[in-house]
Amino acid sequence: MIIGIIIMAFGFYQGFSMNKEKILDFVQTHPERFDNESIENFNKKELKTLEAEHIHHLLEQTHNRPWSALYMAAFYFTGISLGALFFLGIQHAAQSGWSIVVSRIMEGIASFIPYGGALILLILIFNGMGVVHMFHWMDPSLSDPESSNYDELIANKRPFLNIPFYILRSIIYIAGWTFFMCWLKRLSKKLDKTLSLKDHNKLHDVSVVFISFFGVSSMIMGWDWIMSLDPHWLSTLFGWYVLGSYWVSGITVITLVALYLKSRGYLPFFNDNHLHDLAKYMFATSLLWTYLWFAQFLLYWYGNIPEEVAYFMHRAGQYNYIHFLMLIPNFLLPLLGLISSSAKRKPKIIITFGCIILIGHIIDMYNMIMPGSVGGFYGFGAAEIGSLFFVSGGFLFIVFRALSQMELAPRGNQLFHESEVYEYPF
Amino acid sequence: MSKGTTKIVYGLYDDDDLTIQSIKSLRKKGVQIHEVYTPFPVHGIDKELGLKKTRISDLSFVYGLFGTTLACVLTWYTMIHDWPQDIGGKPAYAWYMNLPAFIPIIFELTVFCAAHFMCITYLIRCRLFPGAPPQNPDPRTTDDKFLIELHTSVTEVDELVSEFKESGAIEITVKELAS
Repeated sequence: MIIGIIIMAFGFYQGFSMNKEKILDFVQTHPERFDNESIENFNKKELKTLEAEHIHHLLEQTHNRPWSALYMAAFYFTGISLGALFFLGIQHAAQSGWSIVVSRIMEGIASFIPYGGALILLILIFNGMGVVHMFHWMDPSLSDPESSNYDELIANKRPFLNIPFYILRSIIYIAGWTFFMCWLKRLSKKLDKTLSLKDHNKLHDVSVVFISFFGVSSMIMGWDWIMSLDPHWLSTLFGWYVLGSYWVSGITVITLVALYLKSRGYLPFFNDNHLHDLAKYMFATSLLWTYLWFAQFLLYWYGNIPEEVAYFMHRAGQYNYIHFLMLIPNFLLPLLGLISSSAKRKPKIIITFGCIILIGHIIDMYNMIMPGSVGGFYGFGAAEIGSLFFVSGGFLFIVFRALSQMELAPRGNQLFHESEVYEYPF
Repeated sequence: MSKGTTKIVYGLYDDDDLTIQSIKSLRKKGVQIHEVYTPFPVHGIDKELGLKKTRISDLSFVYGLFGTTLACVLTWYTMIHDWPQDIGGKPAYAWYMNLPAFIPIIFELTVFCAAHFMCITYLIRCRLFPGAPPQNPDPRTTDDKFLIELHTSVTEVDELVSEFKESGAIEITVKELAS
C-alpha cells in the first residue's frame, strides 16, 4: 500500500515537476522577452523626465520579475509547510486529542521546509551578492551621506537591515525550523516503537520550545523577507499578517491532503468529525487573516500619513485595487460558504473552498511581494505560472514522498485512540 | 401527555455518564422522558434525548443581519445624511467611500444584536423572567446531581422504579401529577 503511494508520487509528480522546471529555465534565460513591451510602453510615456539612472533602476525591476515570481512561489509553499508545522506544534503543546489522526499529514507537509527554505535562501544570497536587485535597501549607496542616492530613512535602519546580519538571520530561521521539524518527526516516529509516556511528554516539551522560537522568528521573518521589499514602509503587525496568510494555506493543504489520502483509502480512520474540525480552522484562520488585514489597513487609511499610505496607494493605483479584490476569495467566500455547520462536513464543499482559499492566498503573496520588487512591470505570465508549477511540483513530490515513507497512523501516540473515536459533540 | 398519566417519577443520579446510559436504556424500551435537569450542559445529551436541532443559531443569523442593517443605517444617517462630517480629510459625503471607518461599528452592532437578542429569546422561550418561580423540582440539580423526570400512569410506576434502580439512580421519588 505504502509502496503504491511512493510509485504514484514518484511517477506522477516527478514528471510534473521536471516539465515545469524546463519552462522555468526557459523563462529565466529570457527575462527580456516577457517584459520588452512594458518597458517600451513605459519609456514612451516618461522618457523625457527619466534620467539614465532611473532607467537602469527600471531595468533592474524588469529583471527582478522572474526572480520575484520564483521567490513568491518558494515563499508560498514554504509558508504552507511552516503553517502545518506550527499547527502540529500547537496540537502537541495543547495535548489535543482530535487532531492526532492527521498529525502525520502535518509532519509530511512540514518536510518541505528545508527544501523551500534553501530555495529562498539562495534567492536572498543572490540578492545580497548583487546578482538580483529585489531588495532596494541592499544598495550600499543609500546609506552613504556623500552619495546623491543618500536616503536617511534607510540609513537609519542600517543596524538592522544590513546584508550580513540579514542573511545570518535568514539562515537561523530556516535552520531552526528544520531542526524542530526533524526533532518532532523523529520523536513521533520513536513513539510508535517505544510507546513510552516519557517520549510523549517530550513531544509536548519540544513543541512548546518550538512555538516560542517560532513566535519570534516568524514575526521577524515577515519583516525581513516580505516587508523589507518596501523599505520605507513599516507595519508592526506585518509578521502576523504574513503568518495569517500562510497559516490558513497550511491548514487548507492539510485538509485537502487528508481528503485526498482518504479517497485513496490510505486514511480509513479520518472521518467527518475530523473534517469538521479542520474546516472550522480553515474558517477561523481565514477570518484571522481578514482581521489582521483590516487592522493594518484601517490604521493607515485613517492615519493618512503620506509615507505610510503610499503602500496602499501603490496597490490601489497601479495594481487595480488588488488588496481589496483579494478579500473576495480570502474572506467573503469562505465566510459565506463555510459558516454553516453541515457544509463543514461535506468533502466537495471543503475541496471547493479550499481551492478558493489557496488561490486567494497566492494573490495575497503576489500583492505582498510584487509591488515592492517589480513595481510597474507586473503581470501574471509564464514566469509566475512556471515558478508556481515548479515549486508546487517539488512541494507535492517531497510531501508525498515523506508521507509514503511513514506509517500514516501514529499508533504510538497515547491520544491516537481518543482521536479515532472522536465525535463532534453537537 | 397521553391519557392516564397521573404519576411523576424522578430518578436522581450523581454522575453524568450514568444519566446518559440510563436515558439510552429508557428510550430503547420506548419510555418517553419528560425532562432532564443537569447542573451543567452535558455533551451528547440532546442527541440521546432525540431533541431536534436548536433553531437559535438560525435566529442568531437573522439577528446579526438586523444588527448589520441597523449599523449601516445609523452610520449613514448620523455621519452622511443628517450632518455630513469630514474626519481626517477622508472623502466624505458618500457612505460607501467611508465604509472602512464604519466597519468596526457594523461589526460591533452585529455582535451586540446577535448576542443580546439570542439571550432574550432564550430567556423568553424558557420562561425565565425576573421573579419567576423556579420550575426545578429538586434544588440539588443546580449543584452536583442529575435528575430524569418521567410522566407515567399508575400501572407502569413499579416497572420504571426498578428500571431506575438498575441503572444506578441514587434516589427515586414518585409523586402525584398535579392536574
